[in-house]
Amino acid sequence: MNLIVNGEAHELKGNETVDALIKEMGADAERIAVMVNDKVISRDVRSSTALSEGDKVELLTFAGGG
Amino acid sequence: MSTTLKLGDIELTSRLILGTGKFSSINAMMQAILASGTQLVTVALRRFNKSEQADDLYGPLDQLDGITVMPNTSGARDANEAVRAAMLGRELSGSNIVKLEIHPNPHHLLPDPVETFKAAEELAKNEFLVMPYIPADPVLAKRLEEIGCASVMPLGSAIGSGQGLQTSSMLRHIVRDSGIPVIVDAGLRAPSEAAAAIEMGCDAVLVNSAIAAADNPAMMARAFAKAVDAGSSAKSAGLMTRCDDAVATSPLTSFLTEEQ
Repeated sequence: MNLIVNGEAHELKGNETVDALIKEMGADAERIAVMVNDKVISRDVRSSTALSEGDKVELLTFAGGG
Repeated sequence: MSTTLKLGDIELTSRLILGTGKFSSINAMMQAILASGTQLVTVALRRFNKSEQADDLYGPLDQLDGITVMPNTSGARDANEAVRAAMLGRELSGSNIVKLEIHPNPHHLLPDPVETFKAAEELAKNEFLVMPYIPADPVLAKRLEEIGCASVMPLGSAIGSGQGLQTSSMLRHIVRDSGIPVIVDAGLRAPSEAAAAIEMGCDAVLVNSAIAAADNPAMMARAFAKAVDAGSSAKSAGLMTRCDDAVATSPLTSFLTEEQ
């Protein structure tokens, strides 16, 4: 399945949930916030949120800021 | 001046809030945070990138005991984007406190008051502790208080400009009328400006560039902490009344010039 992850094309193999994508990207699930097609996906529904072809996913973390 | 600053259910004894941007390294940032004695730090959000985990903030911040992390909504150009950024920040911080900032023009980074108000209304309805970065506008500050913001954060001058307290006269109006904490955010360069802000009745200051851009950030953080303490003591002690004319401090007995 082809997704756009953080602005770049990404092919997701296998399990097609938000949880699976986080794992595949090598991110620490505890330190990531997720948005799919501009909708915030909270932690408790990541494993039950299925991704679809062409979804735009943002994986975000903390950065320095004022 | 009360000994603690209350922001919803968060109680702070330090009146210095630190931003975490622009530090030369994570280590320099951590040293400054510890030296400042702050109990509240702001952070921004960025895209996750596996190859950039060396500058990951999450780990270091997690080790800081007794310090609340307040995500900001920097990068948001309108209310909808800011609300989404606030929800993403809450996912990461696990806390409801958010520094709401919407400044779409990169030249001056001045806050958009209309979008900020809209976003604040939405976030306050959704149980966020909303800390909006605003122009030093007493009318807007009051309106934001009325819709349930936890504080207002008027600017001293433009973000990162180091122009100090350009807005003093408006800040005085905000302080006089406000029923919620007033926190000067942005533009401070010298600790003396932080002291002045607290002396005039502001409840706290948020400092980032002035500390991050110092040759010795930890030493500057300590200097700001002392200045904020000094301002706080001065405010509590009660400043003397300002007079147009001189009022003598020594007795004017004129014994040297009295005519014989």
